Amino acid sequence: MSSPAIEIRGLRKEYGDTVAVDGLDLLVPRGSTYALLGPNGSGKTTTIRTLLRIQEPDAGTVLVLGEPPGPAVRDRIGYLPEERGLYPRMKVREVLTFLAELKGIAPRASRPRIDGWLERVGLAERANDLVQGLSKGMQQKLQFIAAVVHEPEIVILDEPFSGLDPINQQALREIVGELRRAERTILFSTHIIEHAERLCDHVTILSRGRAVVAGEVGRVKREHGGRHVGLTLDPWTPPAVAAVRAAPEVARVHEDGHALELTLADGADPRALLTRLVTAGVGLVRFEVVEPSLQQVFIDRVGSKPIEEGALV
Amino acid sequence: MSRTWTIVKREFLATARTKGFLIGTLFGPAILAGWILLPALFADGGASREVVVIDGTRSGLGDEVAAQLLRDSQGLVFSTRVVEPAPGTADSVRAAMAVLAAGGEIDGYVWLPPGLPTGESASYDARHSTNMREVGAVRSAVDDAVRQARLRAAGIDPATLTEALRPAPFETRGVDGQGRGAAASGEAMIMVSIIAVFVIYFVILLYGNNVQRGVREEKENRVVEIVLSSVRAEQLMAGKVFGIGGACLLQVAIWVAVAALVSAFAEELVGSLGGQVPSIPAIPASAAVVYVAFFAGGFFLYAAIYAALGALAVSGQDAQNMQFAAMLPLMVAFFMAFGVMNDPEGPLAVAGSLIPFTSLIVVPLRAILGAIPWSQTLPAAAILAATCWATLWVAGRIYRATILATGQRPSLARIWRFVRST
Repeated sequence: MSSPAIEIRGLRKEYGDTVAVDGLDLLVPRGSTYALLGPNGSGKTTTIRTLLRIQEPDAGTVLVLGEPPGPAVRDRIGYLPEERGLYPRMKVREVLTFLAELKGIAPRASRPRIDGWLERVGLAERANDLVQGLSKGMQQKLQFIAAVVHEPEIVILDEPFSGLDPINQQALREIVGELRRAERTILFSTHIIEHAERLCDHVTILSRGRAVVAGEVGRVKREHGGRHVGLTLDPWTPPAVAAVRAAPEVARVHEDGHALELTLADGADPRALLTRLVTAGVGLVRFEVVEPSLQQVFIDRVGSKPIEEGALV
Repeated sequence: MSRTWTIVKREFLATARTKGFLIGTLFGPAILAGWILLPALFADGGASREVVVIDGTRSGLGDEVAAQLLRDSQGLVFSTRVVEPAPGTADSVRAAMAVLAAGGEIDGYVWLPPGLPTGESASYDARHSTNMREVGAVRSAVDDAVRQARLRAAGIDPATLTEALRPAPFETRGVDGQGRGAAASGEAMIMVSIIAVFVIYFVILLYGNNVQRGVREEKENRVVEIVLSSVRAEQLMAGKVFGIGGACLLQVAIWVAVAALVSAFAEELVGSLGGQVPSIPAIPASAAVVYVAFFAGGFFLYAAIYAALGALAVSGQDAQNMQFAAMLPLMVAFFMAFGVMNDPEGPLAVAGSLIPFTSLIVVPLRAILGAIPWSQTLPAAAILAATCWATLWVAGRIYRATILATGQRPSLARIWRFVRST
């Protein structure tokens, strides 16, 4: 059996007195599309930088494709960092050729690939323009090309959708879909849960440098299932919502228009809740025990522990 | 290594393609050419002056002044007329000459008052009274004529005295290692040394700043993170230092080539303009090798320091403040050079040769002056090379520790811990 694409054991990284990553274990299977979820400052970027050896860990082991992340392994990884930038005074094709050469692809070999990608993302006519003349969205497309032009086995995308308009977000989702079909391993780092839910088959949720949830998305949801109830009120009235909130079986209420998503208290029986609401005269047109969304899992496991934005990197 | 080479190429091209590089490449030789050619071009050589000498002494002094003006015209062409005014008419003659000068019919008139030999002041009223060569020629002519008149009055033959006071021929010459006198004068060698020192100082200052700015821009626009996902920070820093260094050496090579061409044709060119070219001494090949080696070693030493400072800086202002850390030893080396010129084999020169932060200037300077034995050059080179390597090593680690840091500059203690731990 082949080794996992990424295997991290007991990773720890500190910045002065601040612990950015605290004993993290992460196992990313080959060919998976893996979401690394967490609020700002939860240690996502530090984890990625460590596995790319941009930063050295204080403790723990990191294996990528079964090896420590040395130069040869790093050529097999593509990386789109969250904090993005390119050389503004280089031409579009030049900068892509340079970045491909840093990944071991000679200019002669990278030229047709680069031209193909530029054609695909609609930048072929800008190949000889200076990077500084491109819009932010266009520059982001170039950075994405730089991450995949050397056809890496692992693609790491840190907040890839930020700054893209909906059309380009859709185009990027399609390309990611192609990479999945080509059995590339994709590691998504994001705090936008909807993207992770739509694209990924595995997830790890980080909070304060620790993994609080990890595994296949379906399994994670199932493990958190049975505690969530979806209901729609008719008529929706403030007293009806207040009655729902006041029920002792309900731990948390997430409102979305007339629909509510409830997290039940530990040990609470959904049938007891249904009886209570009907008895109280709350009008219901839907009451179902639902599998939680990743959003719900995230809020359950992280939401009660606020993280200071930008506290860590 | 091949990845470092990729970065070297990018940095070289990024530097050599800029307008600043082009301007600098043209500007350097222009300064040199200007230094040699402009004085001759702007010297007003060959201009003619029509001057009237009003001889109030009526003793033939005016003719002496006119003759002297023709003998030593300082590059100008004087055409003179001598007027000896009748007693009581001097003022009206001077007034008439002033009118002629104002109207441009003559360029000026010299007034030799009757009491000139005994101390009364002569004067020169001229249209170009600020032309130092013209005024100097007239002053000198009056001076000589009066001196000769005084000698004759004292019964001394001026020709005999002039011959007696003629300066003994004298020139300063360097002596090479074999005891042979060098062809060029010592003064010319000093001039070449000063230029050589200036080139090292300014080029390192200029390109060191380029290295620091390049690192800072890479850090500010965040491209550094993509690059560091492919190469180590030390490779990135080395590529930057050697790439920008290569562009710098190319520029200096162009300057040297142009200087060689200019000096080859300068004598003919300036001679045709009526000027004189300072004699340019030949530099021994061994001194040229020492110059290039220490220049390159010194460049990489300081460029590594500038790169580390660029990585440490968290803002443009911060970077400017920190530049002083690199500039200070370079300035010490620069000013030390002038002390070394006075005593190129003294204790200051020897100490400056062994300190790597100053040897990049002191050793080449002493080599050009022919005042450093190989027994000092080789240890100095070894110390510079070792320091250069150690500085690149430490700077590489500082670079890695700090290149991604934003917000607050890491403390020296933390940087030191990082350097030791990797």
